[in-house]
Amino acid sequence: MPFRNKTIPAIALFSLAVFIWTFAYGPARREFISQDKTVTVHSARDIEELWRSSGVHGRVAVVFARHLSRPFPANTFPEMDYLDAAMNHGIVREAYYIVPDRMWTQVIAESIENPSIIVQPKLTDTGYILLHEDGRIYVIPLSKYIPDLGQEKALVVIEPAIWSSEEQSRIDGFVKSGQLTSDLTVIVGDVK
Amino acid sequence: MNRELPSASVFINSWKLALIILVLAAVLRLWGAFDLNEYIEDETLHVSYAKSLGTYGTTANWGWHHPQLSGLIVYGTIRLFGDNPVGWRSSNVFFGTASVALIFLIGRLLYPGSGAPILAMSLLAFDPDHIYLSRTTFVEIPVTFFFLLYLYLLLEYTENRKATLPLAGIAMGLTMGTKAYYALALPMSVLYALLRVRQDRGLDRRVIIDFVVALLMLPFAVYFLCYWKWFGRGYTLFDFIRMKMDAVWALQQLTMDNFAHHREFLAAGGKPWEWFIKPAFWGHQRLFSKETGIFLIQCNNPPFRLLTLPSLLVASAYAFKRRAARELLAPALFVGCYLLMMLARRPIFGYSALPLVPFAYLAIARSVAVLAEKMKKETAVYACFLLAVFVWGAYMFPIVSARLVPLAPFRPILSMARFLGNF
Repeated sequence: MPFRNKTIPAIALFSLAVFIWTFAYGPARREFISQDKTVTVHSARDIEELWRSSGVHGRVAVVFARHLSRPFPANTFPEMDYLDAAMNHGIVREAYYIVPDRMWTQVIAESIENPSIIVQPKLTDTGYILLHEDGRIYVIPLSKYIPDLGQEKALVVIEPAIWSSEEQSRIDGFVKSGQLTSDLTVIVGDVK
Repeated sequence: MNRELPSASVFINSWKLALIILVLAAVLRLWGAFDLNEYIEDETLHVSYAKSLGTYGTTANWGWHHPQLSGLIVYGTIRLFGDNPVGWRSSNVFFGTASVALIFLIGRLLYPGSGAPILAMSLLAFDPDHIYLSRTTFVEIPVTFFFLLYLYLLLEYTENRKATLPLAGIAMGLTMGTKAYYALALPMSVLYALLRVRQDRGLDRRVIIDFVVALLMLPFAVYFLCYWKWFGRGYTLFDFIRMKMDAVWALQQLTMDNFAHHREFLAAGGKPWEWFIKPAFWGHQRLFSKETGIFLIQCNNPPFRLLTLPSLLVASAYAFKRRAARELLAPALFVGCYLLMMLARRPIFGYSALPLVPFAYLAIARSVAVLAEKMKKETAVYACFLLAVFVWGAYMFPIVSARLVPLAPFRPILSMARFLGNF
């Protein structure tokens, strides 16, 4: 019985410690870069290399772009599946793919037709969720997107060429108001 | 309990016979298991999953909705033995063999003084499909092992008052961390344990606390720790709950169309309701001539698994007649597991029958023991049954283990195959 009197409290304490660990361990493993920076790139491969070389890990990505990941002809962004690679390598754990409202119906059709999608997208009030192997990808039209990441800084990708000046101001507004903070913002310049 | 055989009977409490069967089980699982230096069926998914999990903490091949312990184990053996057949398969060889020992130990606790433990053990030891899966990376082998380990430790606590409850809790967590097959069987077994303790020594506050701590808090702690790679990707418990809800949703969206490339092969194992009713053989072959070839045949062990349903009835009737909860445990766990699979709103394939098999074999063994007692011919019945199990297992072994064989002796089996692809 003395054995029991020590064992059961010890197990209870251990279990409690694991419970606390489930909240603390993940956030502690997220890797950010020390000084916020904005980088202009010219291809999806540049983004992949930038993220990898920066040592970021376990992050949320917010992508303002026309196409998310499907391979497209040359001189189109992205020319490779950089987000998929980042999720497979643990760099990104969750992504927001924000698209222009005028392209929303096309984006939905492309998602449904995408042969790499195992199950159909999960509909939400603001858009839909792609259940990627390594985390959720929220697909949302810009008009319905309100950043909700708390204090966490995101990896932001912006493809300026596809946004009207009004839309660009809305995106800038998120940053200025502090609703969307980023330690590494990538601007997609002229595609090589 | 039962009218006991003479204590000298080789079939009762015979550690020597049990050891012989265990050694044979190990030989059948180990011999040539690493010869095939290529992926066997789903190994192509399991190994890349394990390597991705170990390297990046991410999963691969749409395996994200399953718990991660088996991937971590395979990654561990790959680190230990290399990225080769030994690294891929050695853990299953061990878990498969150890499961044979565990079913014997469980049988001794459930049916003391009877030949049932030896019969159940031999059924599992020589089950061609258990041998086949033990020689690959299928998750069904470790999850069955962990559940049997849990059940054994729980029964040591309930039947022999040993202080094994915390160890049972760890094994329960490892079961949960491997696959969800026992989602109903686990709470059922806890209820059984509570019932037995109430019958035996009464339920007081102290016992309830022990149960809550050892069989609720501890298993969940172990379960969460099995996801340490996943949590290491930046997630918290809230994300975990959301991921699990996504997983249930995603699994319910799956149809056979999602498995289009292997539809015929996967369908050949039959639907869950067929598993213990219709004989089924299916698999792959590599022919070297018109007379010789190697085979990886899967089956539902027709001569014996088809005895399951009548045996469940006999074992349950016997349990009710004796008013013994212990006698009813194996049939109840079988029903609990089977219900989950029958009700699952997603395609379930033939290999998923394996987690049910230990309970089926315990029920069959118990029924044979009861009938043998009634006939008063225990020794003859046990000997004939063991011989039949051994002969069938020895006959099937070469074609479930990719041994080079002449085709002629196996044509009856091959002609019954529902699907026979090439590999």
